[in-house]
Amino acid sequence: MTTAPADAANAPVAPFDEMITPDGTPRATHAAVMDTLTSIGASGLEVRARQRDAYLDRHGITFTLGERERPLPMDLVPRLLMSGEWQRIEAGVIQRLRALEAFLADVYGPGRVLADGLIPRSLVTSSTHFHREAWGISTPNDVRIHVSGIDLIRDEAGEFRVLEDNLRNPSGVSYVLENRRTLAHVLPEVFAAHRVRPVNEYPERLLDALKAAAPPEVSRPTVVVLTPGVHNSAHYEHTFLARHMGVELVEGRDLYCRDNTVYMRTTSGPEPVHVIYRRIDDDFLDPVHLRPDSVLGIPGVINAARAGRVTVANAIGNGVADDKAIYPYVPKLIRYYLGEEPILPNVDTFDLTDPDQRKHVLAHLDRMVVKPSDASGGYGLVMGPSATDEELAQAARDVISSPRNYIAQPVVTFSTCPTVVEDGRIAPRHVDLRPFAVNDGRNVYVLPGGLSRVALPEGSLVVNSSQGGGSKDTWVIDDGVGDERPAVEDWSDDGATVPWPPGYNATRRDNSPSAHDDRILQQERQQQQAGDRAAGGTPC
Amino acid sequence: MLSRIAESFYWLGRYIERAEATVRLLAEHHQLLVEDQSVPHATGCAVLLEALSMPDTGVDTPHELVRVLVGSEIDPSTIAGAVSAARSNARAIRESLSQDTFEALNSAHLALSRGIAFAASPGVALHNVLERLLVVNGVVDWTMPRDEAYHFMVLGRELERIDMVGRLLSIRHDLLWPSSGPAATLRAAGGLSPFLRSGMAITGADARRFLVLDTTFPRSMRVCAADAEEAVRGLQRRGASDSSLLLREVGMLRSELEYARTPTAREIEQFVDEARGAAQRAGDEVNRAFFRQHGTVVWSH
Amino acid sequence: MAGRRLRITHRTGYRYAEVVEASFNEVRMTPMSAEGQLLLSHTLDVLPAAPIQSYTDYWGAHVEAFDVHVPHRMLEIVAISTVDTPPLPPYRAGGSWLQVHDPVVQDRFVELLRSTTYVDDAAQDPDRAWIVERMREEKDPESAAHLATYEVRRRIGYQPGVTDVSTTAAQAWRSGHGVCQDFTHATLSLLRGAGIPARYVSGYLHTEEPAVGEPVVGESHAWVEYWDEGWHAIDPTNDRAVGSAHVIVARGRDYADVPPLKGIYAGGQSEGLGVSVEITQL
Repeated sequence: MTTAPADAANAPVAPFDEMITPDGTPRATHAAVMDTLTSIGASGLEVRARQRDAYLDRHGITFTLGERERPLPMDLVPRLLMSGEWQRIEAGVIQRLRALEAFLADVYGPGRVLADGLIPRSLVTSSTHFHREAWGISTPNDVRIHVSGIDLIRDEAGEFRVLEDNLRNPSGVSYVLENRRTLAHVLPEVFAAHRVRPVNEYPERLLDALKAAAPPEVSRPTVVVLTPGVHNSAHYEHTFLARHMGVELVEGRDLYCRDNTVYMRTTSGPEPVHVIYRRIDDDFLDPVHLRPDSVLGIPGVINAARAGRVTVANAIGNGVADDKAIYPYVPKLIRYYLGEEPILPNVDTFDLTDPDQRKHVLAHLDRMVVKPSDASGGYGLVMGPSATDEELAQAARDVISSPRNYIAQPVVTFSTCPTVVEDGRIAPRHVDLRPFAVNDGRNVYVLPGGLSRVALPEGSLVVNSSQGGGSKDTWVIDDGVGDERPAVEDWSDDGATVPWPPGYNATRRDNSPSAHDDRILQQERQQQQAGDRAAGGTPC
Repeated sequence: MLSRIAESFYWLGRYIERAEATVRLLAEHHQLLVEDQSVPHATGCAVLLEALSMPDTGVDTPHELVRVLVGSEIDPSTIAGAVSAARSNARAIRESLSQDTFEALNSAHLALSRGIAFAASPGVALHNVLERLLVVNGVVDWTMPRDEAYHFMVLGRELERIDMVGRLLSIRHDLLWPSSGPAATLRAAGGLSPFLRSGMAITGADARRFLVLDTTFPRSMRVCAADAEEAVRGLQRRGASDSSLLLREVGMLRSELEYARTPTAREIEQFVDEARGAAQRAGDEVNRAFFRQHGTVVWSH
Repeated sequence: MAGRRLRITHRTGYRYAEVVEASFNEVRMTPMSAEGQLLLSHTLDVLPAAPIQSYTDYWGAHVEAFDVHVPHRMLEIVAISTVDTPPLPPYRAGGSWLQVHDPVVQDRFVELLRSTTYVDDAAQDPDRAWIVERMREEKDPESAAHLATYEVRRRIGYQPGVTDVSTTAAQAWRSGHGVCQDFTHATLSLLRGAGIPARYVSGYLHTEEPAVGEPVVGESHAWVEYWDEGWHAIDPTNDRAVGSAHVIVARGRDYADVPPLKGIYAGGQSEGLGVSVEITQL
């Protein structure tokens, strides 16, 4: 499932820059947008940035950090994906989802993949997110991953790779929609030269998919969004989705279960609920079967789902498929279930339960990223190149004592995108991409673009939204062409060899690849973590 | 609508009213204590604390009384506590409130939590708080759609109002301060001018009769009962189930007050007690009919 | 020993200190139809009455779930089953250490080899590691299993009331007293310590010399099945062959996977009503 890293891992490799090619020529794709931004100028961009902040503030587009609500910083430079690039991402995401759906149906059913020995049973059964309580629950339209956010990065060669799968409660989609509205509001000029695929149909698609997942005998299903409450960091998104789908935003105490039917307490009496789009973690969902101390869930809901009277979306137990120890096997799963070659490759990953791979990792720990396999949020992540000797020694002890709980990856350098930095200058910053996909049982809709997260501070080691990370409006551009085109000759008087905008390249060498990796990884991991464990929620 | 949301609106209405009524009452009472020292401060403080169901901790200066009743966020019987409770309810339904409503409430909350300069001139400071609460009420009044949520909020406000007028009348300003007391009672309900316009001379008995039975003043118990009844009928029209007992409670109170013959002073006191009792029963019934059992249940094994 | 047809009446429940408005419960009291055992009939009655939903859980047990929404101070449960048990199977030689320790086998039964809340790894406990060592020196897993049973019986004396349902294998070992659940957990910890896949079996036990038609007091029982190229049952509590007197209800890693009755309720304290099991050979 993995290959040993080339010795090139010793030397830092320049990141792939999405605007400028390695020989310094700009990519033509960015010409129109960059020309517009250049003509607005640094001081103009500062004005727009203030307008943006006012807009976000006025519309209450925030995430909650501690007790405070803050706007999520949105960069003014859109990230551009050509339709050819997007086609590949879309096809790759859909393929991966189909395989992961099949895998979940299998491990919560016949267990064919285990009997065939494709994947060690020990990895599946030892996953903290493998819920035996969910075994044998079939879903009305065979969908378990109603909403997914498969995180991609672009490697040094510009190839998109899957960094991790998020199949439980991926969040951030509200920012995708808000970013587009915000950018169109404060920087309408940049849209002039491109046909950008719209993102605003997402709520409708989601609602359709949730209705399609309802128990089949229900003709007019009632859908609700279940939130852990106002203190959850992603509460804004929960209200956003409920409002845009036109459904109730409920808390666990608004619902109760009786004889396998779930009801919502309303002032007109109990009202049956058929689909629960829950944004609380599995563990808190049903105190009968899972965490007995949960006050956020609905006692009896698992048996109601088993009886086919209510659909829980995403399904219970999906976490076994996005466990990092399973991740290295996903390419195999694609071949096994679909008989296809993976379209989007993984990042090389070492299975530390394999003695040979473990030995290799331990010998090259200073060049590895070591991640705990079931936790997310950056907890316990060790970046080899930037770690202290003591941290490396501890990581080695951890890996040796419980290899199942960790994976290791060679350091990958994320791609960079032009980004507005201090003083309105434009400089490269590292980005990742989370495309959101909605499965309605017949089709998988991949929201064109997705959430690009960007490491805003130069030289800073942390990018998660709580510490200065931001996002970018991400465009899928209908250019009718495949992958990136060569630079054209006539877009600039100076010719295509001059770095542009002026000074863009000047700052791009300041950060070591490992530093970038560290930041972005930390942000990645934060996404599907129950950041507010005590409240059982899943933050942005 | 969700019971939890309805409950938040109901309590938002109650707490805003409680805060406002307490501010008015405290301001007037404080004024009396300062101006007319014929009543010992300890006694004067004790009667107000008792009326508001607050423990008497030996408060014996007007200044201390203000400090105790402005209170803290943790006790919803105090002004700061009621405003804070109103704000938490508003936060839970922020999506359904106008931005202005939340902001107005938030600014009242922040002013109180930062500590207004009560020490220097409590009267002015209390007036500032009152102004902010008036803004909240004003914004609510002209931004909220007249939907189910609104009716729950009005119902909460009117039931609280009946209770607060009852508490006000349980303090015999007219007996403690025979000359200035009756006017203070009216002023504490914002009712002095309307009373004077009706052409009556201020006596203790007439002031009390006015706050119970007047047909037009919005803080008379009779008008509150009629408004509460109207709110319940509004809820019924919008499909709120199971409200017949509640309607009976507020409707009977309204008709009793509406069809009362000119009562004696003693009968007025009975009306006050009955109205408070009815408001309390109506509150219980609101809980039972609409909100019951949505609270957090702790499960045992 | 011939097979038997048994009727089992299992009564249990809870009494609550305060009125309970709602409770959610799951019952695992239905004998399996498997390996020669055949379930002929089964009824479950609960009071206050409630509709019952049933399903098969991950471990293959038949689960009956119900929730009660009328205020109640007592929950009573009566399960009546009729089942045919098979005669004692003929002796079958077990497999070798090599077969049991094969990585494929170890992965296939990984869940029955790992430690759990109740069953720790005996090889890690100085008090028991020496037994695991000696077991590994036996000529085959079967002999090792017999040694495990022997050591458990030598160490733990049967004594009700000292341990409870939450007692772990390590605690039972230290206390030296216990009931069938403790004997079973302790045996599992030794077997798994030696790398022998082993599972907890919950069920009923009939008497040694039954009279047809005469109800006798039976008991909820627990014993062990271990794998050596096939499943073998051993009853460490009684040190007797597992045959027609044993009725299998559920299997799992430990007690937590197979509790006969579990549930949650809103309010006050509860106490168990006690358990009575009556078995009649038909």
